[in-house]
Amino acid sequence: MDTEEQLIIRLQSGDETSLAKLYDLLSNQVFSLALQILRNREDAQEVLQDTFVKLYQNAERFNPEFGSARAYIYTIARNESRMRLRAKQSRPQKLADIDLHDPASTFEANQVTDHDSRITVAKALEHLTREDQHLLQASFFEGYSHAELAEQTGLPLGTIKSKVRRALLKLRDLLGDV
Amino acid sequence: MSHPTDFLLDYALAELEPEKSLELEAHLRQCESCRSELKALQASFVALSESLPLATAPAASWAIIQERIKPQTPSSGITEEKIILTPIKNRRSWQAFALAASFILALAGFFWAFQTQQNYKQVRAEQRKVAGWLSRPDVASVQFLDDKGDRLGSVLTLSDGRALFVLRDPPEKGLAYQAWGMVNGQRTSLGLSNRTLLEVSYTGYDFIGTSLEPEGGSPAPTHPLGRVAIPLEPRPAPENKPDTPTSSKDQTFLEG
Repeated sequence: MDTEEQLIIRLQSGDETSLAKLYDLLSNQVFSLALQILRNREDAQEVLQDTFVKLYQNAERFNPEFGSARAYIYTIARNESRMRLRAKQSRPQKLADIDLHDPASTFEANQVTDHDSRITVAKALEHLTREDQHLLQASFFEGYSHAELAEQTGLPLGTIKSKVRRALLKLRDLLGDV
Repeated sequence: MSHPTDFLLDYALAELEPEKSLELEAHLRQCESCRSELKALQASFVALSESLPLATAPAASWAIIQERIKPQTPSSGITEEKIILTPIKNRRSWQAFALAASFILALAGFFWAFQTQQNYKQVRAEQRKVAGWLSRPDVASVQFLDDKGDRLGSVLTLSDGRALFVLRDPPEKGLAYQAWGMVNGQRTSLGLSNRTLLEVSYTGYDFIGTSLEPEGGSPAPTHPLGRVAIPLEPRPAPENKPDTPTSSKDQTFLEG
C-alpha cells in the first residue's frame, strides 16, 4: 500500500486516484481543522474543497525530503482557513457557540484512537505554560497570524515566532514522554 | 555552521518567501540538526491538528472537488443516435446489424473518449510540471538545438541537481528519448521517455544530452540529438526569446 507521501508523488504526475485516496484518509481531519478555525460548517466545507483542489494543483510543490504529507495538507488547510477569515474581516464565534447537537455536526468523539490521541495531546499541553498554551491555541486553532499575535501582546514579531517555535518543540518533547 | 532556526517555523507553515525557502532547503540538505527540528515542528503541528474532535466531512464535498478538477474534454459522442430506414422484410436482420453497429460505435466512442481523457490528464500533468519548474526562482534554461540549429525544445535545470528536457515533439511509435550524462570520457544512461518530458539528475556530469533510441533504450547512443554543458549558463535573453541557445550536437557527441 502506498504511503501518503507516495500518494502525493503519484499525484504529481496527474494520478487522480491518489487524490481520492488522500481524501478518504484525511478529509475528516482537514474538515475538523477548518471547522475549528472558522466555526462555520459552510466555510469549513469550502476550505475542505479548496484544500484538496489546491493539493491537486500544487502537488508539485510537495518535497518529501523536508516534510510529511499530513503536515503539507494540514498547512494548506490552515492557510486556506486563515485567508477565509481575513476575507470575512471578522472573528468567528467561540467553539462553545457551535450547536454540537446539530445532526449535521457529527462529532465522532467515541472513536477510541482519536480519543486517546486527544487525551495524549491535552495532557502534554497541560505541561506547557499558560502563555505557551495561549500562543498555540491562538496560532493553530483560532487562525491568528504571528503579526496579529505580536500586535495583541505588544511583543516583537521575532519574539512571538521564537515563543511559538519553542512551545511546539516543547510539545514534541512532551508527546514523546507521555 | 550557523543555523537559520528563525525561519524553520515559517517554512513549516508555508509562510516563507520562495527565495528564502530555497536557501533554507539548501541548508537543510547539509544540516541534520535543522532537519530534525523541522521534523519536530511539523510533528507537533500534525499532533495538534489531530487532537481536535473529529467531524465528518460533508458527503457532497468529494463530488464538488471532482467537478472542480475535471478537465474540459470534447463530448464522447456516445449518446449520438443513428436512424436507419430499411424495407420491412429485412428489418429484423437490419435491426440486429444496426444494434451491433451502434454497440461497436458506442464502444469505439467510449474507448476514444477514455483515451482522450487519459491523454489529456497526462498532458495537463506535464504542463503543470513545466509550470512548476518555470515558477522556481532558481530555474535556468537554454534552448535545445540539433546540429542544423533547429530547435528540439528546451533544457531546464534547478539548483537541487535536477534537469528537465522539454522536447517539442514526442518520439515516434516504437522509439524513445534516452538521456545521457557525461564526465571524464565516461557516459551514463540517465533515463528514457516516450513523451516530451525527460527528468534527470545532472549532479556530477559536465554534459547532459539526449538521443533517439528504440523503446527500451540502447547501451550507447545510436541517434544522438544534442547535449548541453552543465551548469547551464543562460545569457541575458534577447527580446522575444525566452532563453538562450547553447546546446549543440557535435562529432564527439556523448563521448565526454
